[in-house]
Amino acid sequence: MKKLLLLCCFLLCGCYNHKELNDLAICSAMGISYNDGEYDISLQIVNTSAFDQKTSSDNAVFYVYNEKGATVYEAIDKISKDLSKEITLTQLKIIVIDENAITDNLNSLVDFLMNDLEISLNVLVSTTLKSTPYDILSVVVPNNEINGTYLSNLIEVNNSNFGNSYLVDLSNFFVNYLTDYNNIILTNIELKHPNEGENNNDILKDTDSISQLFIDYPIVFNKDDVYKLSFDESIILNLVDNNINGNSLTFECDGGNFSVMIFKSKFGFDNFENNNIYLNGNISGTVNEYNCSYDLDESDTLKKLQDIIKKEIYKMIDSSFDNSKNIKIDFLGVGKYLHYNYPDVYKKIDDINTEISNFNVINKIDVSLSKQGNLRGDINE
Amino acid sequence: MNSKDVIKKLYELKKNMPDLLIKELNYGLFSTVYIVAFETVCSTDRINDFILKFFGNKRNSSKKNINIDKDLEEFVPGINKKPIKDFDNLLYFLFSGFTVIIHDSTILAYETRASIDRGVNPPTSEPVTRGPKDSFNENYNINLGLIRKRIKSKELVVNEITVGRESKSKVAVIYMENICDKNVASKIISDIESIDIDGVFDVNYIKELIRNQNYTFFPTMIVTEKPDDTSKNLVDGKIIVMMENSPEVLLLPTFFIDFFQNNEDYYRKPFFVSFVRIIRILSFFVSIILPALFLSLLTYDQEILPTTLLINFASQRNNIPFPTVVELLILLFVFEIIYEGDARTPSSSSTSLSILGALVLGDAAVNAGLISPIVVIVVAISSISSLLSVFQEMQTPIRFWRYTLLVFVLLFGIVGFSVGVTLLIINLCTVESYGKSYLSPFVPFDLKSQSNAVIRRNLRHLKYRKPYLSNNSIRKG
Repeated sequence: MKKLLLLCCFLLCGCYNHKELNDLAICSAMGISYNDGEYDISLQIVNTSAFDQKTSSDNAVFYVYNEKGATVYEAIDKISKDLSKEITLTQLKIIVIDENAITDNLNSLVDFLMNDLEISLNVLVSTTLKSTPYDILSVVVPNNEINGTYLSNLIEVNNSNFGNSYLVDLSNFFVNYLTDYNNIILTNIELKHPNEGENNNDILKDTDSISQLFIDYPIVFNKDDVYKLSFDESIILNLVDNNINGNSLTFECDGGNFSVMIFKSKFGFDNFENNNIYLNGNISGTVNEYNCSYDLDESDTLKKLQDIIKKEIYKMIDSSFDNSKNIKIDFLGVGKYLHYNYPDVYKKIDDINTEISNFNVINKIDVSLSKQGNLRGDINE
Repeated sequence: MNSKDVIKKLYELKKNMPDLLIKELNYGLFSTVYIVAFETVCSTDRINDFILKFFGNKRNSSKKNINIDKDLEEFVPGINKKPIKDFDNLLYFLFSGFTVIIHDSTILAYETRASIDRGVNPPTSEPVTRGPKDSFNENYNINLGLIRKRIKSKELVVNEITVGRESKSKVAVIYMENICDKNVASKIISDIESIDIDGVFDVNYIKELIRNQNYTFFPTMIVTEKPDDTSKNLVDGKIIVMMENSPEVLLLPTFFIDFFQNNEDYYRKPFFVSFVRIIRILSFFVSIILPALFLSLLTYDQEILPTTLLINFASQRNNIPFPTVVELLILLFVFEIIYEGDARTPSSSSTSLSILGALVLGDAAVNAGLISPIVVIVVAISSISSLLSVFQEMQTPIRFWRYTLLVFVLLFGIVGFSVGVTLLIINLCTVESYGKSYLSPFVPFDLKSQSNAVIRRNLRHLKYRKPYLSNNSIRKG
């Protein structure tokens, strides 16, 4: 009898979270807007039958469902009612949050994201200033890819190759929200032609070889303040965060330009003394395009180019830091450095964003360049 | 022993044994000699040419002073002549193909065994691509000879035991006295001696009768029909159990790693062999865990899969009427049918059966929308992987654990999978083969033996015998 009861327990307790793939609505991206006290949730649901080789037709590879609700859950529940399947958020690739949702009601949003166990901590978090999350998620992307997958790849490529985006996943987002020495910095996704017609899908179906989405420079949020970084600031932000490896940067030289492929860079705050923060770094790169008048074959030409790069990076750091002081947002991570390395100093600071103007940055950068063969000088010979 | 009683008993036996021949001949002036043999196991030519020819000679049949023992010794050539002591002994020799000559109180047996065995053929259950292509057959002497001609050593011990109340089969425990662990040898001998059964007709009977009590489906003995493999194992320190009328021998003790090695490994380049061994071991685990892992990922833990792969799977499952587990079970069942059908079919028909089963059934089932292609792929990989094991005995644990893991996953998802795999490892760790750890040389770990476990080093570097197999650690090279 005991064995029978044990067997029953064994058999009855299983299978409770069993889900067949046919019964799941796979959500690849989520858009969150906040207007007039209500959340406006957009869910991008993958149309799996569009990938079925036997039945594939011109069906869209995804659909975007949109509903409003007092809470995020309520809005998602409303969307569920329209679907014959159970929504799963396990495969979310990106969450696009609009400005209002971050500045007006971030607490309850973070509460939802932290409590939902289905959402992976690796999901990228981004924002949009000029468009709405719904518009962003509705765009048909090249090669009939799923918009969510395309966007996450786009952000990663922009970050690793160009330094104009800033990679923030859900875990970073939570850390930035929960700590007072960090500001929330998010990648900004925008539409290239936001005013062309109301229904983007109709327009873009004809031109789907060209992406209608682009990655704009990162946005920094500080309470109600929203600041869009410039190209230089974005590069310095990524340099300080050691995200620049494999990026190409172009510098002006004697009447021309030259491009450097940075294959290794390492930056970090090194010391703090008398309100001076020392920023050390080194950059290694290769000159991969060269249109200057100096002869590259001469031994001191590379030194000259290294000096130009140093000077330019110093300028970029100084201007970024000055701007940080002006707008009173510490987006370069000075507060984080002091918090970890000089906790006594940090304790005396009320708000790092307002007191950032009291600090100065002293830079020390090493640049080592190498040249590739077959550049202009070699060909002229 | 009174010869009259013996003759009387033999005539009684003849009532139920029509193949028993009893020939009465005059020998000398006043005495009679009886020639007794089973025509089914004896060569009548040999009886005629050697024994009857002697007694048919008029000079012999009319002799006054006769001493049959001396006469036969003098005139009938035959190296294997045995004196008979009792009636049971007489019957044993009769059934073994001897011809018995009874004269007064003298009873002698001459070997006139008929050659009723097939010759030495290539192995059938262990196909050989390189190396010796002979295999054991049902003839005990030939089998022993196939080993003797490979190991010409005085240390090769053949310990013969008669097993079976009625069958009285000859079983031999063979080992290298200077190499093997003698405790294991004596344990095996005593195990075989303690067998009390009416008859044993193949070495697989012995395998079951002496099986040590392990709670496992993993085989703890290897059955092989290859003499080269057997000889290699003998010099490694293993003990062989051979039996008359059995074309296979048992290798003892057996370890988990043995099922992924064979003698052919020593006929190829070490690098290639190491690669193949890794593939064999991986395929063993793939074969067990793949269906369960697939079921777990598809029905419980979809978040583990990359999005594009999940979408691919989801698109394949559109409009499939069965749950994934039912799909898997249907296909595994179909595979079992094809496998059994193939095993029982003559080789000429098995190719068409494979094509019908694998291509037509699989393709038709997918096109009909009954089964998703990915399930066919999973079952196919799992099933083909199970065939990579060198010895057939591994099929049983593979099947048992494959279905056990499926049940665990069906009930508890990835947690059940982890528990199932843990149980599998625990089971493997607890198995013993004649007191030796089944997972040797990994558990307990032996560094020296690793050079010929998964990775095979060059033969020149294999200087030490396996310490877990042999008490004698003499260097080989």
